[in-house]
Amino acid sequence: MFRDSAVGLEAQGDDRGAVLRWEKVVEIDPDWQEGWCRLGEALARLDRLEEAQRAWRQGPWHPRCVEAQGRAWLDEHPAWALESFEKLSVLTSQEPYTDLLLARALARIEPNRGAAAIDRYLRRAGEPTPDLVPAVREVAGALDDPETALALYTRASDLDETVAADLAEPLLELQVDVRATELMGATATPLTGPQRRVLDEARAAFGQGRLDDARALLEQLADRVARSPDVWATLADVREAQGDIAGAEAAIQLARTLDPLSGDLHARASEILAEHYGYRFDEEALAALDRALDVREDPALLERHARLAMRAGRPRAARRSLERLVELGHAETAGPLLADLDRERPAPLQLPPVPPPEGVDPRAWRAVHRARVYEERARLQDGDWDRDLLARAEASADEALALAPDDRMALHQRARLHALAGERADAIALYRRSLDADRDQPEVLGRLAKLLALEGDPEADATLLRAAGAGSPYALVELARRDVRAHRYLSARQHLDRYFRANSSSPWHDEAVRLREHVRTVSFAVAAGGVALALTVLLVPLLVRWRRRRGLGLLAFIERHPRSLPEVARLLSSIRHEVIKHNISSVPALVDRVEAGEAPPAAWVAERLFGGNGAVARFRDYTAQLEGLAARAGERLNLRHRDPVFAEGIRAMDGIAALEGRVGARTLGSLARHADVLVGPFYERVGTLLEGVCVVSLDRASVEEAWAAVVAEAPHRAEGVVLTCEMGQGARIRIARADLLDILVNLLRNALEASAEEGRTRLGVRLDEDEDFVTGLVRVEIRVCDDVEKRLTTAMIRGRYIDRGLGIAVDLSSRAGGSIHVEPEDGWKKAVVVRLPMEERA
Amino acid sequence: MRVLVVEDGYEYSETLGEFLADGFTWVRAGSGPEALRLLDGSTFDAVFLDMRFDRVPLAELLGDMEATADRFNGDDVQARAFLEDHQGLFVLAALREAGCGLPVLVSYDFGNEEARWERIRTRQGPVDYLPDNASPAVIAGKLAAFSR
Repeated sequence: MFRDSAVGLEAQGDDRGAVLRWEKVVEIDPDWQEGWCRLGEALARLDRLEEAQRAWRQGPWHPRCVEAQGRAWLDEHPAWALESFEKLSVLTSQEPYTDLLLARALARIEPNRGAAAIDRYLRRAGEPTPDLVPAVREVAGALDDPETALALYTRASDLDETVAADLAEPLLELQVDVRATELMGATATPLTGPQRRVLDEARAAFGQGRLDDARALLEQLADRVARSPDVWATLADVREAQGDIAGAEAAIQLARTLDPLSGDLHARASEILAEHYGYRFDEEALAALDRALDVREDPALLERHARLAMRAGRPRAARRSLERLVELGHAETAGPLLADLDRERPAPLQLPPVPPPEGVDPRAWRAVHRARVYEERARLQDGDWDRDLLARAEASADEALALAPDDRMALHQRARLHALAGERADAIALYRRSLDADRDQPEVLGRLAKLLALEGDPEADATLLRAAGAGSPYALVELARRDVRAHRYLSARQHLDRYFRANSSSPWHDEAVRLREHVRTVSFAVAAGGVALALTVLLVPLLVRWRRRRGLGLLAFIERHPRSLPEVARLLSSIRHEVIKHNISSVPALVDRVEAGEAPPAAWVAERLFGGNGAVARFRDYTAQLEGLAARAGERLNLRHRDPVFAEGIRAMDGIAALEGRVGARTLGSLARHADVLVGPFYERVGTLLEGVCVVSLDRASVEEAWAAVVAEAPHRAEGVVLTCEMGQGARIRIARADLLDILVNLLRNALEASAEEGRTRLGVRLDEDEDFVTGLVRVEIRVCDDVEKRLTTAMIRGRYIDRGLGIAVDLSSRAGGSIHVEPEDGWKKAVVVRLPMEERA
Repeated sequence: MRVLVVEDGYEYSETLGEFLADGFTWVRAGSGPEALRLLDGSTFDAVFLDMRFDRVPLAELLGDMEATADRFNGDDVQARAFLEDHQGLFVLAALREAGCGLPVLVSYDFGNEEARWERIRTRQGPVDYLPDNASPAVIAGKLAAFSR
């Protein structure tokens, strides 16, 4: 009653009256957070802000309460506002608008993170929300870096015309400011005649493919004439050709700074950024192209701009460039791209909803489908099952059966779940109940036959034949399989013909195709007669030998592709854990039991050795994953013939696979022999396979090598700078050597550049260790120390708004399972610290 | 001997129940929190602890996700994999912190990581390990050694 009255008074604009009613509402039901929210809002409209905040505090999990409180704190307590908005983000499942609120709070605390929040919003938002303009203004106004601020304004303006109009004035001001600053710093030095000749000589060397000579000449020249844009631009070309992308980018950026009125230099920078960083720096590439177009409106640049903007998800910017192309008379080029932008998605086709079958209770119909969904979701990626979800599936199937005890779909669903839980007798009973109602159900007959076989029931074979007679795909394929095993190819062919006449897909289709191929091969061999047989006898060994000789062993593959090491290590660990530990290691106990005269535990053998999740299937899956990994890298991994460790493991596992359905006293010796190979030498050798692979020593020599490379890039910058090393005994870490050097080079380059800017003259590298108390794992710390005052934080390093040399170090350290931080350091201003896992194995 | 088997699947509890029924009672806990609950209400002689737990929900993984993500430059995926791959040791540390002094047998091959095993062993009280290829008989032997 009070609630309706409060809502009515609000509608009439009587906030005083509404406040009284809402107060009554929350007095009656203080747990109703919506009531507190509405009370706070009414109080806020009356400017009774302190009371409003008290009301909102009563709704700590109500999104509007949390948002209102955060907004109230924005100016005076931005850290509290940030906490509220972070909570709001969680409560609303990260709705895009919460990023803008986060950005507004961060603008007052950590503007770089605020920029990242707006960036996130712009990537996800469809329509602009009212906080966009103030958020952009506040964050851009607080940023130290005008280029980043400019990018924020430009991208936000792209979202909507109203936003563009609201931001037009500050955008113009900032653009003018940035360009003026650029021009103030643009003090290019012209080359003298002899210097020009050296540049020409370097260009000639570059043209002839003598990249090292060209680079040496240019770096010497850059050392002497550090402010020549021509020299740096040419050096960028050479470095790019050598694959030194970070070096090329550094050179072209310097050239742009020295000559900001050269459109070519901006365009070239854009090209390097767009082509070599896997789309990661498309925004910066676009900004560089914008600058190029400011200087020179070129149709080719406009087209590049449009394509890049489309790729970066900036359709408005793309359209602007394309429309300008049309105005310049290049409609032919722009037309297809504009058509791409205008493409509308076809409306999805709609079909009428399907009612439950006649006579079936709709609640049972829904419950049985819910059981199916739970069952599908319970299936885990590794072939195992989520037991909790299976329990839910069972509860839903029970509910369906209770509502409709004779519904066949419910019966089958419940039976399938019983079978999954190993309750085969219950599953069999339900399938029989279904067949009692309708005997002509091929699929149910097939399932029943399979369960009876697993139970060792004498009726199993007769049921299988009945199922095949009724056309069950499983039964037909199973009979064909038995025929092939017994070399009854004609009968197998008949079963398979029946299968393929009626089925184009089924869970057994792959097996059916494989059997058909096998039967065809055998039939062909027989029909072809003596000549063909003779040819086969000659060719097959050659083909086999050729196949055996092709491909790589695992270690050779890793040597060629060291970055695949973590994935290979994961798969090898899975083989030891999932195949050997969970299954094969128990075979000796199985052998002991059978030798003692007991029957083998049929269910355990069927599930753990030959089941879909058993040892054979998992082993084959993991080896296939290893081969797939190599195939994605363009290599053929030949584990069966070219890898000494896997060859014996695969042979042993093949031997076990061949015993499917025959484990017993007569095959015991064979089973024990194969299992011994797998739990013995194969297990040991897989464990030591990767020892020493990609393990590198990190010591003084590594640091000195990296430092020499950094100094060679720009010797003038390193003049007078002293590097000290405290590396102790060094350390061994598992990483590709090139990656380790890249990390060191990028950290040292960054430290050197920042030191040179502030005139600092010393750098240090210190090695330390960091141990995890719980796991006992030790990480090696590479601490690169400097005296630089300029602010640098861990968040800045890991964010997008940082020198990309450090970005590369972050990527590489992540890939090696490590991390990067900025930390205080005794005797220095700070240290950039990279932690990498130490190699534990001897 | 009453043994608490802590594993994310059912492999050990089923296999040990199948092959080592005489003289042993196996009780399964599917996660660290469940193990702590069971230890609170029942009496056991030893704990058998799996190492990798990659089939439990994130909420049931022990270990500080945020601090772990910081080890990997904030990468939640790597952090979760790390917690899953070493979960056995997190469970072991939680058991000790909860005052559990039972002998613990860890199923992980520390044979090639002696220095690391030494660090863990000295901190975590009565504890032993066995490699992944250990047969049920070897497991029984190790557990029996605890009771001696």
